[in-house]
Amino acid sequence: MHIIIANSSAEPIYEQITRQIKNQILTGVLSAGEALPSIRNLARELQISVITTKRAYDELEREGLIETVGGKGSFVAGQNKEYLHEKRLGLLEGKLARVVDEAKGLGITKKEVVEMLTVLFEED
Amino acid sequence: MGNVLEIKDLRKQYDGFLLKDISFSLPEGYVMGFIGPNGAGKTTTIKLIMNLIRRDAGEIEVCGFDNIANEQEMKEQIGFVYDENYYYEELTVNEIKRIVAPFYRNWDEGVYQQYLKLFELPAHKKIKALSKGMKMKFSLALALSHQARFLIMDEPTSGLDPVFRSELLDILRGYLISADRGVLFSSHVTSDLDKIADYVTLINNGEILLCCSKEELLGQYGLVKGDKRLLEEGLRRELIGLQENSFGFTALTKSAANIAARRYENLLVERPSLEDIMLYMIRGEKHV
Amino acid sequence: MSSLILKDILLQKKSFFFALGYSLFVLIAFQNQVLAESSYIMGAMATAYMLVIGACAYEEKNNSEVVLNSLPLKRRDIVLARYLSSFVFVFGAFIIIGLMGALMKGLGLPIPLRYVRPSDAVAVVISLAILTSFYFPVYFRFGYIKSRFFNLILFLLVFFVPSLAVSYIKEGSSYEALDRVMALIAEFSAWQTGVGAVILAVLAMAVSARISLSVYRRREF
Repeated sequence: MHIIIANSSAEPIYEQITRQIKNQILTGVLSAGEALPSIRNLARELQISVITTKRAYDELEREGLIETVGGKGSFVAGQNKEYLHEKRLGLLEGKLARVVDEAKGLGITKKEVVEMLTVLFEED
Repeated sequence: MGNVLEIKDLRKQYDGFLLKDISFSLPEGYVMGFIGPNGAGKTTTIKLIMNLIRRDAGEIEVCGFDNIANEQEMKEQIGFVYDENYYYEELTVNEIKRIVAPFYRNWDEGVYQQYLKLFELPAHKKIKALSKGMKMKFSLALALSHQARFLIMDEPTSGLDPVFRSELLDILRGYLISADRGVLFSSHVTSDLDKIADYVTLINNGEILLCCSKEELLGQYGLVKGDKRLLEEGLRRELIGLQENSFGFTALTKSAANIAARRYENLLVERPSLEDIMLYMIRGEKHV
Repeated sequence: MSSLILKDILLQKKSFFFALGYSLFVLIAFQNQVLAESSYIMGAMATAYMLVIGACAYEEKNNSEVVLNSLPLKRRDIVLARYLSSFVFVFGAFIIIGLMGALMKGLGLPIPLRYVRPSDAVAVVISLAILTSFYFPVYFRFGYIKSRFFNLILFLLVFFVPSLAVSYIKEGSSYEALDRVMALIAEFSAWQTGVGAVILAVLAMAVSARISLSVYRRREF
C-alpha cells in the first residue's frame, strides 16, 4: 500500500488517505480481503494523529470499501466485479467532466476533443 | 475506554496568578498537546496533578485514582519527564536507578536495560557529565520502565536539536501502540505537537482558550490572508487576532470553510499550524 | 525507605575521607585537660553533623525534592528517612573515630588519652538527637538555604556547650541554681543519668518528627 501525505496541500489529511486507499482498492492494487494496517500503526508510520487515520478508515467503511472486524483489524471489503466496475466508471466520468470543462475554457470544440481521443486510443 | 486524565474545575491562586476553574480530560490511547505562552499555567497544572503544590479547589483523577486520596497509587501509574534535570548530579546513572527503582511496584529491569542500550546511556557516568539530551533520555528511560500508563512531559524538548526531538517523538509513538496509555505533552515547540498531538489544549493566563482534537481544530480553523479593502464589518466579525501591514492583513478564523466558500478575490484561506492558532488566539485575547 | 537512606550515603562518598582526616585532627588537637575528655565526642559529633547537614545541602542543590515528591513515596517516609539516616551517620562517624583512636593507641602513640568508651557513644547519640530535633523542623519548613543561619548558631552551641558544661561540672560555677541542679544530677548514678538523658532525647526526637511531618506535608514545590 502506498500513501504519500502532502502537508502543504489544502486537502485535509484524512481525505488524502481516503482517496489514495480508495484508488488502490478500485484499481486492484489492494485485493479483496487483504488486511490493512491498524489505525495506530498507520498513524505511527505516517507520523500523524491516530484520530486522523481513524477518520480516514471510517470514511472508507462508510463507502463500503473496507470492513472493520472488532479485535482483528480492517480489511478490504470483498467486492464483486460489477461493484468495482461501477465505481471505476464513476471515477472515469468525473475525469471526463474535468476534460470537458477545460476544453470549454480553452474554446476547443467537441469535434476537436473527439479527434484527440481517437488519436490517443489508437496509440495503444 | 476510560480517561487517563480528568481535571474538573481546578483552581489555584498564587501572588498575581490565578488558575481559573479549568477542566479538561484525556481519553486512553492519545497524546494531548498542552500549549500556551510562558507563565500561562502549564507547569502549574502539571505540578497540581503531581501534587507538588496543593490545589485550592477542583478534582484531579489519573487512571481513575484521585490524586490526593490515592496519591501513591496514582504516582505508580505516572512516568514523568520534567524540563530540567532534577536528579542528583553527583550520582551515577546506575546509582540513581538503584534509589528510584524500589519505589515502583511494577519496575521492569529488563525494559530499563533495553532503554539504556537504545539510548546509549553509560551506566557508570555521573549525571553532571551527561549532555542535556542524555539527561532527558535518562529521565525518559526511568519513566518508561515501570509500566506507567500516563506519561507527563513538561517542556522536555526545550534546548534540544531537531534530530533529537524527532527521536523522542518516535519513542512516544512506540509507547502509544498500547492503547491503554496516554501522554500529556506540554511544550512551546509547537512543531513537535503538529506532528504528534491527537488533542490540543491551549491555555493562557490561567484559562483554557480551547480544547479539542487536532483534527477538528485544523478542520474548523483557517489562516486568512488578504487585501485590506475586504475588511468590512461582516468579515471582521469572523476574524481573530487580526494583524494588518502595508500590504494586506492576516488573521485566524473559526469559520474557515464558510469564508473560503464566499470566494473573495484576493483572499486566501490556508490550513493553520498550531503555532498560528496559538499566536492569533493569544493576540486576539489581548485586544479584547 | 532504605532506598532513601542509601541515597544520603551515596551522595556523600567523598565526605568519608574528610571524616577520617577530621577525626585524626581532633584526636591530636584536643590534648589539654579540658578538651581531651570530650575529644571522641566532639570529633564524632562534628563529623556526624557535617554529614547530616551535607545530605540536606545536596538535596537542595539539585532541587531534587521535586523528583522525590513525584515518586510514589509518602512525605512521611521522606521525613523519617532524614532522621534515620542521621543515626546512620552518627554510628559511622563514631566507629571511625573510635577505630582511629584505638589504632593510634595500639601504635603506642601518647595521644589520645584513652580508648573510646560506651559513655562517649551515649553522649554522642544524645547530643545529635537533640541537635537534629531542633534543626530538622526548621529545615523541613524553610529548606536548606534559609535555615543556614539557624544551623550555624545551633552548631556553635552544640560544639562549645558540652565542653563548657564539662568544665563547669569540674570546677563548679558562680551560679547557685546551676550548682544545685548539678548536685541534684550528681545524686543519680551514672546509669540513671544516662537513661534519663536517653529518654529526653527520644522524646525530643518524637516531638520534632511530629512537627517536621506536619510542616513538610504543607510544603509546596
